[in-house]
Amino acid sequence: MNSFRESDEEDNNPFSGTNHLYASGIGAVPEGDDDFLSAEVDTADETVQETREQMMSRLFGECEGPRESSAGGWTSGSMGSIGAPDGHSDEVTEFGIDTVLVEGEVRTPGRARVPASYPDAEGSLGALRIVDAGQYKDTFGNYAIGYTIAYEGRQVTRRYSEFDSLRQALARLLPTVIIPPIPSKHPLIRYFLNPLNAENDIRIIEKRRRLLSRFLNNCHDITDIREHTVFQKFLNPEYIWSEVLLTPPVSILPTNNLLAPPLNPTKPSPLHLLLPTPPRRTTSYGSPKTNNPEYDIRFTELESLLLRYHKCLQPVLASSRQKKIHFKQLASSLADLGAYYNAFSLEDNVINLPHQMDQIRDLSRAIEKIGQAVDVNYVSSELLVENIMILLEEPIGEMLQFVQEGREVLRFRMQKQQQFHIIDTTIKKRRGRIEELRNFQAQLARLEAALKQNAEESPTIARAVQRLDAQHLHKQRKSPSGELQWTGLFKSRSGSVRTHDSLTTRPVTGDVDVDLLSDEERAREIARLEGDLEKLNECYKLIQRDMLQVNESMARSFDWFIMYLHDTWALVLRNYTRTLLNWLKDCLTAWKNARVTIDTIAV
Amino acid sequence: MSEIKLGDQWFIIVSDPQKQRGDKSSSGSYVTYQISSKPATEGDKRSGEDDITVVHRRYSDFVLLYQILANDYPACIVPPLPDKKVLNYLDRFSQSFTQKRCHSLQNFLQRLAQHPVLSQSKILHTFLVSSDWDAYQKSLAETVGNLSNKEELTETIMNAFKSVHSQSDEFVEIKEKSGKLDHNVSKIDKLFHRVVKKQEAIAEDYGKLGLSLRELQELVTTGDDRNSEVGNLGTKIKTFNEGMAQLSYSLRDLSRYIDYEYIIDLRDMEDYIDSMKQLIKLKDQKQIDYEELSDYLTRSINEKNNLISGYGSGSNFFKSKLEEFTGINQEAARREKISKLESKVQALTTEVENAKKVADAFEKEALKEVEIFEQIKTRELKRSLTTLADHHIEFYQKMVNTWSKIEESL
Repeated sequence: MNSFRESDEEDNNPFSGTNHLYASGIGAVPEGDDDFLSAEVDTADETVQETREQMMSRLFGECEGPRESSAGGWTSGSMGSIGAPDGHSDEVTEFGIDTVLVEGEVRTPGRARVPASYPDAEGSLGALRIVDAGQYKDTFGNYAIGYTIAYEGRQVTRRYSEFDSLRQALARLLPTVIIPPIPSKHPLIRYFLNPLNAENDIRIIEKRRRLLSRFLNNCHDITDIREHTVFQKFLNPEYIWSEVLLTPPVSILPTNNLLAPPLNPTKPSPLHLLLPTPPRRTTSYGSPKTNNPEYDIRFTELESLLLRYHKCLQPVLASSRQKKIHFKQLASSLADLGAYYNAFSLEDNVINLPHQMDQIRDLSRAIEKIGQAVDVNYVSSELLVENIMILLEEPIGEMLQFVQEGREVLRFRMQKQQQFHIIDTTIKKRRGRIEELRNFQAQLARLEAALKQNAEESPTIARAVQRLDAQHLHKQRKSPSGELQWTGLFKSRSGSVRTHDSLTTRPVTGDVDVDLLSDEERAREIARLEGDLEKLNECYKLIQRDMLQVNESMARSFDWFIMYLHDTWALVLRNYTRTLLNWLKDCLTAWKNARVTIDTIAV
Repeated sequence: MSEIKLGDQWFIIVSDPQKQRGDKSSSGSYVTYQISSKPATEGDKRSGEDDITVVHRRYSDFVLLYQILANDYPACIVPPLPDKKVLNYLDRFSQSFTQKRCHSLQNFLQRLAQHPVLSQSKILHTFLVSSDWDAYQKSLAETVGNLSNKEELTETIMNAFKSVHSQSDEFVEIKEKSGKLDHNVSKIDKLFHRVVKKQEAIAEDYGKLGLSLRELQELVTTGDDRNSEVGNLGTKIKTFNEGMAQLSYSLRDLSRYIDYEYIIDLRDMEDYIDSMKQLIKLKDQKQIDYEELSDYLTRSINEKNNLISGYGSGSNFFKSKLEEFTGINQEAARREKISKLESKVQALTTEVENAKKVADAFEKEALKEVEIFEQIKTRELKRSLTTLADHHIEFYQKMVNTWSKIEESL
């Protein structure tokens, strides 16, 4: 009995020993074992096998969209595995040809190419496609994982780190535009927990391939990015990316985008350097008003909308992950179940009687069909799992990242707004001060006139006036020259002008009491303040223009973004529905077949 | 061997478990099951709707029926009842428990009704249709109580480790195959259990997803209504969400069916196989009885022959010497012994013949029973597979319809 148990568990598992797509993950099939590929070529003799293959190809065929027309990447993909030392001879010849074409970037075919077998969620919309992903040899002769982008008839291979730097460059070059996200770097801990094996690697590469392709298409969809020279250079095989990063505009990016023209940070603008730097941490609450209140309201609304979106997307992502796990477990249970039904179909009777042979045979067939239905259920569930990941989890993850990016851009605007506010209030303060000084001066003049008039009549008063003058002189000697630097335009000057014997301890922000200043000082300050004001007014004009540009550009960007969100959701819903339907239909057919066979049992 | 026709005499449905307040304080509450039965139409279509008899029985009534049948038909595979034991933490009146038991009881009665011998039993008829059952019940219960067969039990235990020497090929095969069958069925049972759990988890996941999607829908519809397309997306999400909810419910229904009926079918099948194994064990028992007796007989005959032919083996020689020494009249003792043995051999011979007859008859009977079992099992498998497939088809069909509509509207 015991030996039977063991044998049956092994022999009847329809997938034991084979390396099926559904056993080891679709697309991650090592060389030679690629059943899916062979399905289109030769017809398997086993019926069980056949239905599965049919279903696979049907499923793939339907949700795939336009597959790459040249199957070159495909076939070469199944030829080599990562690190396999084949294709050396090819390399030499390829080198010569490709250097001309790709300028130093050498693609070595036959090296762990990942077949483009995944249905592309955005395949139909995309002007850009990543047609191939796998090892290649970069400019410096190092092997790396490269992603080959096809765009306007040309192909260029870039690696993940280059995508990353592109994104970073774009984010700095276009601070008012929401830059599409790219998949995050893998956490380092993964390398320790799960040392890279070939399959794992391929899965990661595949995932990145999909997400990077979405990134490119999203970028392409945004006019500001599409027309940007850096993006164009990224897609152009004639440029070596590391050199692009070392040349303008990337190399001349300002350290702080707030101190540069918002739409074109690399354009030199000395006036921008005068702008104040608001603190990095700012909240929308109590953010000052600009003179574009409708934009202010719009962006505050957007801010809260994005926050809600964020809160809403997270549980969706979590539940879809959970569902994926549950489906995976279900699939594995179903796999076992199918196997046992198959075993059951062979051992479903306890006695062999000649007149019952027909009945037994029918019953066996029916049970086998049930087993097949369960198998189909299993395989399509596996597919569903893959599709949940590709069609639901990844776009939602992308949207989450995107929302985060959107909030980042909003923060930039907030800081700009803060800048505006600071300039605005400073101007008001300066004006007030000038007013104050002038008023005091006038008052003083009146007072002096009155005193002088009185002094002619009284020697005591005359002496008092003399002493007052002396005091003024004394103070003048002591006060340091209040020459201000440009950088100090927005700083409070109280510290530099404060009297030695500080009779009054004022807050740092306050100005020195006007009555403590001498006439000369007052006049100097007024002159200085007027000089400041002149510059401040220029700044004001600048920041107003900036705000306008920021508002318009961001409004555009957010319009696009909201559209993107809606489009993506619509797409997700549509794709998911389609996959679900495929799953349901496959199962339905399988069970119907089983049902027909059951009916043939004569009892 | 002649072909055995299964009985088609009854059409039975057990349904509607009802909790009853206990009439007397002692028993407390109990559950009754409604049994609707109808004699199957045998050629003529005279039986209509009116022929359906409805009675209410409780679990202990089923137990009684089973005991009586088991006593009256020792050579039959009496279908087993669902386990009596109710775990303490399990609510005896919970829907899931009574529903499952209800289905199991139906399996029990249907098996009885298909059995060519058992279906003809008086007691089954009484059980199914008679309103007098309650009256019988008391006295029957007492009788059954007295009939408890302790002897058989001890004997079975004593012989538990003995095995049959000569076994017909048929039974070797039956034993082996029933073992495999049992193994497969129990594996499938366990796996389905896992599948049900996962399906329920997935149904829950869909429910949760629906919940978060509803939030999204609100967000999308309230967030920005400048765009006409936005409202459109809101309705799309709504449609999608409704589909999700339906999927979740239907999947739960499917799981419930599997849990309440199909798994019960499988479990009952396991029990039924066990019952069959029990019968075969009983058959083996008879065989062992016969073999032991015939062993004993041959030994006795050998001894007698030895005595007659004089001193056979060495041990006998010493024994006779010893007897001589103690002064027993050898010759007389020997003659006495021989005559004793002769009568013993005679008695044994008839015994052996009887045992042989019993064993043979039982074996024949058992073989017939196994064949009946085989047929009932096939029928039952067909029925349970059909309903399994039907439920799956229903689920998938419904979902395909629902989602096709959704796809169109998207």
